[in-house]
Amino acid sequence: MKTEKKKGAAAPSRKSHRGFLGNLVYYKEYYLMLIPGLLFFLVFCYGPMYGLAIAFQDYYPLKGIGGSAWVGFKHFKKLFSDPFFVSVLKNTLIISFYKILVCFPAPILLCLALNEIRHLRFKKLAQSVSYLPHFISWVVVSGIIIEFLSPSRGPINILLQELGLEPIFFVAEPRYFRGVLVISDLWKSIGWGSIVYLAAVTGVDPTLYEAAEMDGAGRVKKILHVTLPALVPIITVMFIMESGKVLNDSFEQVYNFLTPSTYQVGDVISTFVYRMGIQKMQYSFTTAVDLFKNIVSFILVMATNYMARKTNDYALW
Amino acid sequence: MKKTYKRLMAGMLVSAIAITSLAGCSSSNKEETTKAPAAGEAGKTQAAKEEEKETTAAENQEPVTLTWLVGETSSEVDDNAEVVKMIEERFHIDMKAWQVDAKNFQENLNVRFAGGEMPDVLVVNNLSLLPTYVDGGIVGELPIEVIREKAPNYAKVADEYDDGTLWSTMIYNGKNYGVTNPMDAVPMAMFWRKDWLDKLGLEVPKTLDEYEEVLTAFVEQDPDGNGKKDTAGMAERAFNAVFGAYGLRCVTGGKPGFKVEEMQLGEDNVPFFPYIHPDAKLALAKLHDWYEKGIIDKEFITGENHGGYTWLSHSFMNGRIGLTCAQPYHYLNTDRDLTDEKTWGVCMRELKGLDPDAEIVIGPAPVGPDGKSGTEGWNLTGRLTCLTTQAASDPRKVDAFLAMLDAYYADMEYAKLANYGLEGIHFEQTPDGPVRLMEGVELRREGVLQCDFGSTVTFAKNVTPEKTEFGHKVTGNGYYRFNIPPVQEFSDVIATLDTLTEQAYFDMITGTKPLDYFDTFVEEFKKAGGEAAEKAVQEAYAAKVAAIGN
Repeated sequence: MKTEKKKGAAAPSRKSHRGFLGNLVYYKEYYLMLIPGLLFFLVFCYGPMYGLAIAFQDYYPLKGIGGSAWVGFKHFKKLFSDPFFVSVLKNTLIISFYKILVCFPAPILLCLALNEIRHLRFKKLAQSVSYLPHFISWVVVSGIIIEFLSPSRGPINILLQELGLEPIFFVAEPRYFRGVLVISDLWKSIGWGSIVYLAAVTGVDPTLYEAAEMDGAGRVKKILHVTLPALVPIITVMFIMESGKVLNDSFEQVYNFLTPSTYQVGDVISTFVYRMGIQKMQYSFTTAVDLFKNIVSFILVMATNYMARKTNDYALW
Repeated sequence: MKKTYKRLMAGMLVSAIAITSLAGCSSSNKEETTKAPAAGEAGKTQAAKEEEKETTAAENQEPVTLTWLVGETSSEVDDNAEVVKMIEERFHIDMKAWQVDAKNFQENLNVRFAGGEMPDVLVVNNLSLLPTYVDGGIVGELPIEVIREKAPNYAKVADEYDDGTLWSTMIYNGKNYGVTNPMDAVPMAMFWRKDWLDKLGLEVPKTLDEYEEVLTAFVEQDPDGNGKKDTAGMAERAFNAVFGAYGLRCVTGGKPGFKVEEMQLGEDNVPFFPYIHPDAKLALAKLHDWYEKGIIDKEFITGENHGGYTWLSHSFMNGRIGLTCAQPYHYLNTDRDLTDEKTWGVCMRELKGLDPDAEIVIGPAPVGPDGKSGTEGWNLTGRLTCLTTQAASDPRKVDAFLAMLDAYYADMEYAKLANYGLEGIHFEQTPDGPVRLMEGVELRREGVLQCDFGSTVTFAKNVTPEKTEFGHKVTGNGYYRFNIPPVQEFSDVIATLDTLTEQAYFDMITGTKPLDYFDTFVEEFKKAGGEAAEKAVQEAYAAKVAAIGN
């Protein structure tokens, strides 16, 4: 870490004596290698952005962007004035907040736990088992979970009844619905999410642990003072990325669990837009919603990044 | 830090490039394969057209090219297939078919249209697309007088079976665009567990009150004999029959909910939203009562279907409920002999696979307090077939199309050829009617199902009389789907109305909200644009009907 900082400090001085063009010439091979990557982003990420124009049009695919009529902010007005918009936005934010609260730290804890397992084969097995749910699609997972939580057939409710309690229809009960979403997401994503942290942990210099042991640190102290600090950069980056997903709810998940009984707590932007769009090919409206979502996401990422820069050195920009 | 970050970034970029280049390869390949035939075809038709123009000028004997697109499962036709040759010879045409990838059908179709390509004949799946197609210059005008003149047999049948909406369906801005067909639509049938009824010594019920008695017995008297009180009467798929007993059309759909976008055409020929009709409150009261009594499975909220083929009812198959609702053919093709596996539909096979002892019987829809009854059914006018602008401007193409339409109504041998193909090759004749030997793309490549008009009334009566007779024997009155004329006021608010209704209905059935909430709901529904939408649809429909009168 220290050496890197030194180099970082050296960079501006280099810049100053060579200048921008000088740098360009001096590092020409590097810049050449950058071109394909830049081209990729220009062609595939920035190029299609002109399509956002249809958010401000009454777009018909047959007429194309050139031929469709411009309508200004009509679709945004329609979105904001919809009677369900406020509750849908609220649901999206609450569910995302719960997910960040529970599902963001969980893979870190799992990673720390896995890292402490000394038995190598058991560690690998535990890792593999925890990844597996990631590869099952939400359609299947939701089917399994709905069956698992069924008030008449599900093991949880059978257990509740054995204990003399009333069975609970978790999936249809507004009180429990968000919990079902968060926990099913946790089950599905925890193993996969921990991979990136495990990769970071393998990069920790073993001599640091040895030195800590010499100083008399136990397991907990080693986690707190060696492993965790090594993870801080990646945690920061992951958190910044996660903050951008607050409005990008998981359509596949929510759609498969959602029923009219739980609209009031579970209807999120993507399921709402799906229902709006399915009636008619409302390309303009759905583009407007996406644009709105992405602007909010962009602001959130920038804000989180700003806070990260204020509090530690590991911000993205 | 910066350097590692840079390195990381570089690594990410490299892998990103690798992935995208790979993805690029595969997708561009795919595009090529899909585009190649398209371009080839376009080129061909272009060339063919030009060639044809020259030759028509020369001798007026060359067959005219007619390109069809009838549905999502499409395929190009094999020019040497026997069926294709027979059809081509008969109508003096060169029959072609458009292939559009069934996955993302609508998107792919739009891309082709945007590129200036079009077939000659096009089936419009959804009436709400008609204005888009007309305004976009895709679909051309086909005056009713021309249809009446060139296809008299079709016109005769259409007049005879006109449900009041037939001739007005394809009117837009006072002009007619294409033809619609009088279809043989079979309403939903009520399927009972016969072994449960027999065990409890009960008859198939006929009225709503008798329904309640039998369904209560299913809850209370342990019809599956496992000693546990773990059975219910019915779930959401039978709701439409309860609404039907009060004279209303209700569609619950594949995923539990209520399809508000499907309006009902009243007896006075005025369309309305059945869900805010005063009688809907009575139907809801009944459903709530049944929910409280346990007749309605508490788990109707997550639906009868738990994946797989939409019309499978897992609750019914697993013996949790004793009544469900589906199309007759989903379970049975005939009731000649229920032990014969050949007569079983896909749902019946699944049911027997899970429980070989399960037996079913089809009963009538419940009769309500005012003597009304019925179940929901699909359109009576359907297969909205249009000519594109490219075909509508060529009199020879118009003539050929109308000749093919007329023949489908006048000559049942031809209709059978277009729909089923040749006996022994494409279908076999059984006591229960013709049964296909080939399906999907393979069948369509042979030219079958490429220029047909579906199960029209004449077709159902003459080509598949056994199936038709069975379907209508086991069902009663149908509340059929109404082709809603496309209006902005409707499409703008329909999703909101849908959400509003589903939420309110589920809450009132389960008792989360009291039944008196219905009046509040109706007010909210109207205020959210429901009133304006209903009025706009009524006006647009009246205008269409008026356009026919002239």
